[in-house]
Amino acid sequence: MSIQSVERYQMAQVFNRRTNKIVRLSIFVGIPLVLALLSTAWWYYTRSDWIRDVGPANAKVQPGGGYSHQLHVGGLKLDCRYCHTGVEISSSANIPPIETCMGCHSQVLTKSAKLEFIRNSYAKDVAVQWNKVHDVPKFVYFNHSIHVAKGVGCSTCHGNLATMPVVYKTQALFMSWCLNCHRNPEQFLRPKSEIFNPAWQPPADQIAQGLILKQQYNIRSKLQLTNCSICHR
Amino acid sequence: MQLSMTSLRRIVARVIMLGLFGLAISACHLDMYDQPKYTPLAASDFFKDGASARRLVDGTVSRTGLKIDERTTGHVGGDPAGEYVTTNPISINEGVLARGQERYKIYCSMCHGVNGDGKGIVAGPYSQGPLKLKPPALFYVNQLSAELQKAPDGYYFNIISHGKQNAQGDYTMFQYASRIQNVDDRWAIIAYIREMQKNPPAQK
Repeated sequence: MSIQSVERYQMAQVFNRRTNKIVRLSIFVGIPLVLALLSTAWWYYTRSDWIRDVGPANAKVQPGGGYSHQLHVGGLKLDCRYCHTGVEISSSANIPPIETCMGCHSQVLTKSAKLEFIRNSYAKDVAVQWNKVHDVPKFVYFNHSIHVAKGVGCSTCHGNLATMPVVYKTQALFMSWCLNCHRNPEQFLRPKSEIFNPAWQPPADQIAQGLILKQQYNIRSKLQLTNCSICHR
Repeated sequence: MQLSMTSLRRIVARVIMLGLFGLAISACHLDMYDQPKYTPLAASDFFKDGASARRLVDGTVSRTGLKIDERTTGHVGGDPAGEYVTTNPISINEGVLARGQERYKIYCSMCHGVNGDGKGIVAGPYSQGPLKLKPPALFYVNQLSAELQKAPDGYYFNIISHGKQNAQGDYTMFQYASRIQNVDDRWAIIAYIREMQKNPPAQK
């Protein structure tokens, strides 16, 4: 075989031996890397504030621009229970009937254009369809009354409503977040008088106070509170 | 059992594929998340008015809400045409007064004032304006309040339960029976109002 023919033979190879390394690298490093990147992206995507509707930027649009808790709770200091009458006695805190709005607005701001939809709803007896903000999966049996009775305040889950012109979620409502409190409720427990205080801040010795309250409220053990059927029936 | 290297590899590959397939299908549906059942106040496309919560049929009486006695009607003998009861039908103690105070602050104070002076944060600013809202002070300040102070307990109970109309038939105060659902809470509020009237807070 002449030298020329050997060269021609070698030139015929499109990939030389070194490309084997690249192929191996792409299989054993590249593919896992892409998978890792994808799963990391998925992890952050499914936990993002955007997909969980958390924060003022992700507030839901409500009819009539929404009910301003900032004005009514922050400004007028209405108690939560003035409208959410079910919160102490029922699983649902309930959205008030339009009659509750009209109790005041039949006399206060009766000409306001912003309240036109409220007056219409009352006059025509057609419910206003508010958009649900805090929506837990249907396999979660959340009960407001037991949480309120056992020292969990509104703002622990709902944030400081007194500062919100439109309601938004301050918590992503992950199961891990529920369990954080069900495992160690003393982090969040408050005295009876502070349950409905939207601006409540935990004291410096919250854990010590919380442990005392946990005794007082007769709160169940970690084992009982993390039982599946506590929330999933 | 002796397995050749090839068949072992094939089994491992199948198990992995099955696992991946399982993962793929399990993550792709939300029908347990959004179950076809109604939660309180959920919307409905079945009923014409779009609401899953149905209204009570007229004349419905709750099992414990039969209005037949003084505690549930505020009238002597439970007769709606009869006289108002003059004494509080529930026994009053410190706990009842504390409950009354708490309920008063939630439901009454925004108009009648935290200390019953009729200068609540909602109605107060409007009392001087063109609206002339005048939620009565609950202790002696003016003629209206003086009359109110003499009114029997049953009168208070009926105003809380059914609201208050003015001469034109418009409601100046809406009913609170739907919000203060427990009649004993209404009596507790009345007991607390009486306590305020006995010991009126200092006037500004």
